[in-house]
Amino acid sequence: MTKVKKIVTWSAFPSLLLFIVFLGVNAAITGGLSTSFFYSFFATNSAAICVAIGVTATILVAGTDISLGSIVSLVNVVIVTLCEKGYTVWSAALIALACAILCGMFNGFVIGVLRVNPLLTTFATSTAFAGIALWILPNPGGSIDFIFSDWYSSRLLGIIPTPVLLILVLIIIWYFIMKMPNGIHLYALGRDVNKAYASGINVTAFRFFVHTFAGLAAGVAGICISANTCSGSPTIGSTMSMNSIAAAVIGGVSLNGGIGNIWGGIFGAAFLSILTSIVVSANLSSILQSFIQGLILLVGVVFSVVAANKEVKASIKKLVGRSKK
Amino acid sequence: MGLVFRDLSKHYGAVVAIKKASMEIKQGEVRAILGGNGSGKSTLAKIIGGLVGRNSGEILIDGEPVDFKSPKDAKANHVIMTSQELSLFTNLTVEENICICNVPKKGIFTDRKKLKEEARKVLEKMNLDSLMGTKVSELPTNQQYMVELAKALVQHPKILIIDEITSALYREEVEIVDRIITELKAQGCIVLFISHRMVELYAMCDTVTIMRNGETLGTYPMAEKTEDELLSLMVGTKIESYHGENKKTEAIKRDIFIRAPHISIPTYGTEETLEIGKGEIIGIAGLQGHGQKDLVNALYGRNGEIDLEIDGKPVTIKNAKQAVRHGFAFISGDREKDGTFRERNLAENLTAVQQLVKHEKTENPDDILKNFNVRYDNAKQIITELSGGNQQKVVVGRWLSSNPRLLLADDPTKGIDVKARTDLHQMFAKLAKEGNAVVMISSDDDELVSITSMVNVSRVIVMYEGRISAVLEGDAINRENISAASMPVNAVPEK
Amino acid sequence: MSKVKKINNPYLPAIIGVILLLILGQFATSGFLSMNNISSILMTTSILTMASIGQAAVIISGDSGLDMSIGAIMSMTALFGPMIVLGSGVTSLIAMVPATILMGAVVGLLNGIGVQILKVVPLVMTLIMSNVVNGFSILVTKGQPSVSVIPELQAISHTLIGPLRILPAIVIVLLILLEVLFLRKSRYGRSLFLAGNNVNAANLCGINSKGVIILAYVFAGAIAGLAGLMLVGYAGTAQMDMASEYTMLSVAAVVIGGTKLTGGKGTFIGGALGSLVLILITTILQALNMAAGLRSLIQGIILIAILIANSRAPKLRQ
Repeated sequence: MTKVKKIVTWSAFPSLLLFIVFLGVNAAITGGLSTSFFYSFFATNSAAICVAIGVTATILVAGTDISLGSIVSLVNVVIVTLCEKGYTVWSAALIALACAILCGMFNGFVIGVLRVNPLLTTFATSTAFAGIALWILPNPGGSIDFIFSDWYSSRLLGIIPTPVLLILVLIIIWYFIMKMPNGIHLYALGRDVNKAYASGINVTAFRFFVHTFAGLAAGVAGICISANTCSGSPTIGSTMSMNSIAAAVIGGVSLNGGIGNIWGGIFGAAFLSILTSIVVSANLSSILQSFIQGLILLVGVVFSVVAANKEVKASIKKLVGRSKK
Repeated sequence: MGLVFRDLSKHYGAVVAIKKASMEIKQGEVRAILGGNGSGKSTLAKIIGGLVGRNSGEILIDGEPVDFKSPKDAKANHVIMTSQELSLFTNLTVEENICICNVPKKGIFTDRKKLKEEARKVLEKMNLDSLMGTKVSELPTNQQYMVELAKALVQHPKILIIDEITSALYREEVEIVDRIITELKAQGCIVLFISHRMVELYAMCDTVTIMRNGETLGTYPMAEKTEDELLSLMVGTKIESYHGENKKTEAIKRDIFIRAPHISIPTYGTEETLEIGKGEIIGIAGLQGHGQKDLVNALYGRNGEIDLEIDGKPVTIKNAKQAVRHGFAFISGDREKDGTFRERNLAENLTAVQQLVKHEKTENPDDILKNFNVRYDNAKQIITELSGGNQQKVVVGRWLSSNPRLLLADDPTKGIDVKARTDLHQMFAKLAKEGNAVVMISSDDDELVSITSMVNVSRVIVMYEGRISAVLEGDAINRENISAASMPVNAVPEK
Repeated sequence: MSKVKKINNPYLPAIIGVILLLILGQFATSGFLSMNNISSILMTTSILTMASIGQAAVIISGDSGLDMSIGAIMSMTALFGPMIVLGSGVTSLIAMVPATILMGAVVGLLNGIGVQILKVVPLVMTLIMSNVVNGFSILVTKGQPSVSVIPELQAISHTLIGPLRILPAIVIVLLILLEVLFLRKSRYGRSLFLAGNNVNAANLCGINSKGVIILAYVFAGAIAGLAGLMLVGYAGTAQMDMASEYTMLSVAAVVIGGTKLTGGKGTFIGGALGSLVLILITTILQALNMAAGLRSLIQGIILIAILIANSRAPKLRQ
């Protein structure tokens, strides 16, 4: 009984539920679920999931990062440009990943060390990063060696596809950190900076870390999206920042910090992705699609923010408790 | 051996919090620190705890000079402080909170099992093991304070500072605290105990240091001083302790202006009533955080709707706008948070209420500024270019120029100089003499004594733990009675 | 004393910037200060100025206020405005103005409600709203915007005197009216400053801060709506998403114009000067054949530098 209650009140539960329900809707429309659907689902959407993981990390410490989409674009154009210049895909990808981490570190430095508001900082850096991407590759184009795409669509042990593996790497890194005392400290910091300082928590280091991690996540996302498309576009990640924040919010991650977890970001992003594929496969005209998507995003975020209000949540808890008794 | 500090000083800007405080505490000693509001007890605690830097002076632990740069630094030396403001994180569980400063590890990872064990061990000691696994946000205030203490205990304090955490506790919890302090004492731990409950001080402490106006006045063995003697030392003159029996009946005849039958005090979950007379100044006294703010906020409709009777007519006040329209004014002593518009100029700061809310014409800003003795250059100056006292005069000018009928003030003279303070007192008195009323909180008892003496109709209400513990009138309004009523004897509530 | 005050003028960095950029422009490219070039700089500056007026109102309203939907609203009204046809060209034009203002105001109202009542962070709320608005634009125009812009609307590009065309003249008049009568003198404008500077104190005074802040978003939306109409009149054709860059540029313009992002302070005229600086930078970089990406990088760097210079939080230890 307590287990049921625990799951139902888990902050990521609503997004998980939404994901499952809409997965069902999708199955109903397309006539059943197949493994190939899952493979293509992950191939297409793992980038969005990675960015959502990254942004969730920053939101948990009461920050945010809206430059991740620009970092994704940057990674994409770096890979394409280096490939065109004769680098191997692997070294190109690693260099691009390093760039992403550097971008994250720069965000972390300005926010953590120089104490500038995270929203405004990443707003400014997103312009700068997007500018660099556009500078390097002014027009969409170029191509990446198909080894990259082969690697991306391959499966470890014949079961786990590469994109899932990449997401798992991020999750493992995150859990590695969270299993350390840092995990508790991070949530403490998200709730109250001053008390965290009074408890001996290194606020600067945490802020630096989460933005660096977010940079890494965006880097992985950039690799996913590049391998999936095998071409370059300087604006490929432009809508990802906003969608990832929406995903986190839908996943029960409080924008005030300290509440939620990366599963919320993951399920939130997965839900938004499945929504997109439903809108696409529902044969709605492409004219209608973007409006409906925007609307659902709006409703989802507003609903999540309102539902996270304490009073509403307490009354839900009571209801569940009563029905189980 | 033990803890020594010499000539500690700390000022925040121009406000002196501590001057030349000195103390010497032996190992295994439990030392009470006793002082009124603003005597510097909490600042002293924060300096030792590494939370606040000091301006001069030295701290010695076991003969070695120490200089803690951060709370982390202090904790590494086993100097632990528990704070009245609570250091708990409401989004974490009780055991996570308890162990947060020193999370047990297995390798590099958190040892969840050991974390639970450690928390359980300390909670069992406090008969609170039932709290395991709950989030702090779900606990009532008194239990949060117990968890705060538990959090300090797991850090194996050598020097433990307890700052007023017992003020929210019930008797049986206080007994647990007593037992724990005895144990710590036996282990040679130094305990600095700050509390306003005399009974607890006598039960737990060996010695007491008196503080007043940021200075340490002297240290005495607890057993050698009676309660009255301690209070006299604290206040500076001889007083008799207040036992609640000489609560005076209202002798002075007053025209009832406002009747407030149900004033809720959310912090303590209590309710009080108040009748305000025409031309009256009501001073509200008490130690910090005993519901004074709630009382004044409630009258202004800040704690939700309130039903009042103004001039015999029933009125419901839902928000500040309605309060202002009914002729209420609210001056907060927290200038930065509730008073000034820091980016705006004097004229804008002055005319906010009258022009923008009441939609009335105002006098020339220069006339108001001169009226209120503000030292300024021109009315287009940004307000932060003025000194603190003058800024506060501008805020007061904003409200008084709107011709209020009831002025509510929450420690309005906090942190401003003597001259500005007397100016404000005169303005308040003038307002009252014109047939209006003033309800004013002050953390400075002398201020209440002096302002209530400026008008014929006046009272001082003393609050203790969410209730009015005394109503003083006429000659009964003096520092001694206020102090005594702020710390009533035998006032630890039963559960 | 008055000399000291002049030096503290918040417009000063922008004014110096303008002068330096004009000199730089003249050196870098011949014909930079030609009548034609100045005239076109004024045109684009006017449109950005409109966007920055709305943005400034929202930023002044405080509480990390930002309107990221300005570009989307402009794009929307740029698409829908020309579709309004009522009898003759002149009556159509007269109908277009209130219609586009109303369209923008409705979006602004939704933003304001989301931010103040539903408590969604302004950035997130307005970003998502911009998505919805863009989607809506595609939906209504079926992805194929009308191409005919009536000549009466295009007339805003006609020359008035010297390098001054009609649009900049309108915007300058509007700017001064809004700055003086709306922002500085009106009861609302003054309440906006107070609520943006210190919500607690404003509420305590009895100012309905919530309502005041919501209205700032409505105002921003309305102004952006009108700006969209101006943009399409100048461009002569409408495209999907044609104004998206104005969101970012308007924020930068307001910041360069001396408005703090923390709220409670700022002017519309500062935003106009900031707009001029940005347009000059863009024009020079374009004249130097500098890539769009590099331009955006430079804008980003300028913003970061401004943030580091004036928006740092205080230290944790007292």
